[in-house]
Amino acid sequence: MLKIEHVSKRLGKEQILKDVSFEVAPGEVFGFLGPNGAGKTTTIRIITGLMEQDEGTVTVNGFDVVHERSKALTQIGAIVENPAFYTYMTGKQNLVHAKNLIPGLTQVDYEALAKLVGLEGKLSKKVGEYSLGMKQRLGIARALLHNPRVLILDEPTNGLDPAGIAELREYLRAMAREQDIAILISSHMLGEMEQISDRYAIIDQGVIKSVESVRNETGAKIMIRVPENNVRDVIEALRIANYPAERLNDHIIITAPESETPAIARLIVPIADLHELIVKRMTLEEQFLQVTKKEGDSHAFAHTK
Amino acid sequence: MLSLIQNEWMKWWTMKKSKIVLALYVVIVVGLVIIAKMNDFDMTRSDYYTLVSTILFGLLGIITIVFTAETVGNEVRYDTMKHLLMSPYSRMMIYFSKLLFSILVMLGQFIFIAVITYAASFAFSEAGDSIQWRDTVLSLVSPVFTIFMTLFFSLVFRSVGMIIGFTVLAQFFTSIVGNVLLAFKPEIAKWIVLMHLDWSMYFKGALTYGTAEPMGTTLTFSVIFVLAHILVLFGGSILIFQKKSYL
Repeated sequence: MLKIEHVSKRLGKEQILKDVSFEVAPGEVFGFLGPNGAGKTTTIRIITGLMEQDEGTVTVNGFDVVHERSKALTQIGAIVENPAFYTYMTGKQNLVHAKNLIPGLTQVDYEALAKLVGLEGKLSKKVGEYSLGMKQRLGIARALLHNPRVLILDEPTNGLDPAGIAELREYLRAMAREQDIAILISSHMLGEMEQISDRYAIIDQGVIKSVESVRNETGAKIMIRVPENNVRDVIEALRIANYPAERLNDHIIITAPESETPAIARLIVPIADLHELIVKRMTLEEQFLQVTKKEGDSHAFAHTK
Repeated sequence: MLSLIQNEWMKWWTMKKSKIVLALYVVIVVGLVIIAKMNDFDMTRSDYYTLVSTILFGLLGIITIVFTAETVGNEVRYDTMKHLLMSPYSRMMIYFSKLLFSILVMLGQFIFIAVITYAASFAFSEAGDSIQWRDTVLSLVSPVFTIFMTLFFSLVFRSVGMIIGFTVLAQFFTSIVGNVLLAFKPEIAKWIVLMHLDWSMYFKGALTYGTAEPMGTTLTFSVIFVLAHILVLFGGSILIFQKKSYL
């Protein structure tokens, strides 16, 4: 399990991270979202030991990344920013190099690893001849080389075609589930993250704004239609029950968790005939905008649905 | 540590230039035998060995700068330094592996040069002085110092070109200044460390015997002076590498 507790970091006069806390459980795919410059990469650098925090702790399976660095980092596989390689060496030589960086790791089935990431028969080629997508796959192979308990992937789908993205998504979900690995994925592709993550955190200006389940429902829109003469009574009843509601044409729009739908239905039925009830889940992008209330910054994200 | 050195070896040996350099040494050694034989030079084994080893050890000095600069500079060039720093090994260990590997590669080339030059010297007559192995061993001091200096600059600068250029220029100009001072102000020249890298100048029979006389220094002074500089370069490198961000 990956645990980040009250982490703060200042670079010069700028406060990059302020009291950042979240956890990624084994078997969970956790999306780490935020606009450019929000503090995603700094957080990842701190988790991977590339940078030291001013305050707070980061632990990997109980090992502190600062004080038990070697034990903690042995359990992490990561791609930070872009996957970098010695381009004059072959794919296999790059993997051997990565293996040698893990103390005590002796046996690695390179061919099985290549098969896993779709690089069968390509490991003998020099990395300089690889496409961006192949490099991305090799980067993932390198991160998985030592069967890490925590996998950190910074923009892992960069350079992958749609088929490759779908394949990677399935692979990561299966791996998290079957091997009980905690996976943290940083990305600005909200649509993609929606499909791959179980939970997500939104970071903005160094502050965690929200940690939610992707299928959660802080922001589901529940649309109902009742007879015209009951609209006012229904809205009043919803307001008293603490469900914010507003009228939109002939519908009443209620913003509430999806799990509250049965309770809302039970509340309305004694007052009015319920002609229609539609649950509209918010996209991750909509949830993000609601959390950050920064509509003007939405250009920082690309919704890929 | 061994696996880190294995990695350094893999990175070095995979580069074409490592093989080209070894081939270059052989070409120079064989080429000079051919030139000497075709022109009927009056050379003994010892003359040939001294001449060729002096040329090749000089070349080794420059090649050592290039290879040492690349051990750190290439990690920055390929953006792979972050992978080394993300590994469970400490920065200290990573620096040591690069230092040790640079010394081993230089030592390997040094022995290679000495062996092929010695083997080629059999093409000449035995007459004259015997080969001075002491001077050969003392020739190691300069490339070892060069490694510490280059590693220091490779942590100060990011580009391989800058590291090589700065190290070569620093050596070149300091040597010129040192030699000029040796002629006119030898009491100042003795405080230039590059004037103390050839310890054979204290031994009779060596080509450079007597060079240190105007400076009034002793072998002990040169040894301590060079070691003190190595210590400063080493300490400075460790300090910089511990703090430097490669992001």
